[in-house]
Amino acid sequence: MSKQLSINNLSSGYGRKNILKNANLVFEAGEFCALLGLNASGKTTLLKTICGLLKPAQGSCLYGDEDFLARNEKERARIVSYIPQRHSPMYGVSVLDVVMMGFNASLGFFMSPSPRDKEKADQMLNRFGLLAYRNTDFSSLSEGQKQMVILARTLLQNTPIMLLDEPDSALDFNNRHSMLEKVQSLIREENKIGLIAIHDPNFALAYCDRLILLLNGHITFDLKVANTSIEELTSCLAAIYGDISITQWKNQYIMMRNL
Amino acid sequence: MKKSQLNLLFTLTIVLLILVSIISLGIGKFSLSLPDVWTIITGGEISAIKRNVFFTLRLPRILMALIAGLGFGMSGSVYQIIFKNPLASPEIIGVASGANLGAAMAIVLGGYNVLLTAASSFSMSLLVVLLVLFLVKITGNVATSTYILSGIVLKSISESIIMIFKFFADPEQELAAIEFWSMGSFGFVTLQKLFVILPVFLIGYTGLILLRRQIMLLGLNEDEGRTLGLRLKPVRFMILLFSTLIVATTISVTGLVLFISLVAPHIARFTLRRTGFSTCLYASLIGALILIAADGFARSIYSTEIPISILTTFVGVPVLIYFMCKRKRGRI
Repeated sequence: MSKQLSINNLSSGYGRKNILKNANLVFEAGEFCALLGLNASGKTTLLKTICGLLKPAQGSCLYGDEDFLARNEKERARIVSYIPQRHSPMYGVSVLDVVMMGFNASLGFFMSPSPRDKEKADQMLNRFGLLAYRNTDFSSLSEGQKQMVILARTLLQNTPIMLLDEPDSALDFNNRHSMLEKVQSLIREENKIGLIAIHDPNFALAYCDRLILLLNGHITFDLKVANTSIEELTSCLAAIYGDISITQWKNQYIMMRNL
Repeated sequence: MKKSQLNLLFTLTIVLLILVSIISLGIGKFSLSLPDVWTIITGGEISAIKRNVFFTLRLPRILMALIAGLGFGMSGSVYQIIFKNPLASPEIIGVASGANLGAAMAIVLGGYNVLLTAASSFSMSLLVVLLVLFLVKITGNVATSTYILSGIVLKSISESIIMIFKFFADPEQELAAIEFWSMGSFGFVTLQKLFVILPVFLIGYTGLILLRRQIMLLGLNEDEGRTLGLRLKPVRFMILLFSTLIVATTISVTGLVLFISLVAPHIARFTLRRTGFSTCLYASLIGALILIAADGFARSIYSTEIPISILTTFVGVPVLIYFMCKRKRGRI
């Protein structure tokens, strides 16, 4: 099972302009990585290129030794899943139908989910405490619940690689914590490769095993949180966020701006 | 709306559709009373002329109106979903303009032969849609707006060619025939024509039903759909092809029937207050209901038959206005 995701000399962007430049990274299964950087630093570009929405200008992405970017959307969707910043508005579509969209990659064009798939979907909803909402209109849920439904859908897609692009940006403080907690435990339990673009470094420090720092499209630092001293963390993060300090409280790191 | 309510609504609408069809079967220059219609349906004794009117005139007509309504309602709502635009209809990629061009061409160049007109309008309609798709392909941009722009380009070209044909047409006969064709009528439907188009219609209609999951995925943001494994290009091509088959076969026999593919989906959405595939099916039923009713009026309100497009508009608009006023918030 646990193959690596390796990104080799990857450059990508919109039109002729490369936003992401010469990225080289290797990801192990069970690892939850945060992509940190300011706006326009290339986080979303990196994620979109890995999941095949953007064509790389050069370089390759391999899962094991398979070049999945050369595959079509459907075959790719069995390897990589993606949670976008904002999901599409869906009016009058039941929660169950939304999560069952996750089966699409494993079904033929004309096929429908089987009763067993439906059962799996119900179990997944149950796991997220959403079973009571299975027949509810998706659009009537709260933002937090919606994002959980999208997460449940992504898990039914059951891919070894999960990409998340600021999935927490519309969530309040509590929902943000519970979402990241869920993602973190799922990635560990199911031995997936998780890559999340995130704005708030404190959430990354709290939930992710590894931080990848991007500045102007270059990967400037690649740190394993557990093996890095607080001084080193401070100096690396300061390169992006400016005048900051990191303190330790209980067993958490907290970053603050020096005022 | 709960599932039980939804089932009830579908059942009621189907019952209404059957009732309207039975009433409409009797209406016309040679009218059949309701007991007459009942006797024929149940296979009782009745005069040969009544039987003849029923089987050669009325039944093919009502069936055609049924097929056309089901098809327009379905393809209209599918277009609105996949183009994420409440104003989208099969018109926008040139199906109707192509059919119109084909008909005008056959009328002016081929004499006024009914079969030739149907064949020509069907093939031109397919050709125009394929040209739209080709134009999208050479621009290399598969965004929704490219389809709409390409549709506008080919629609305009078709319309100018139609104008050329109209300009050189004999005003007494050919020009009148072109104009009359573009107003639509179920008057030329025969059982034979129905048998020819039925298989093509069924292929298109079943195809769309089978592709229902893909249609809903195409309604999502493009990135979201693709990362869920939606194969954008082949799926969009198949959906456009199936719906073009439905619409092109129908209008090649009936002439242009306006407005149904736009109004039926809106009525369905306002009624069901949802946008899933059940709404497409409901729009399909609504389309059939409006068309069968409109065709009944076309045969009964004036001494000669009135073109169908006039009535679909007059029947559809009040219903649409009613729902527009009833709608509380502009959400769906």
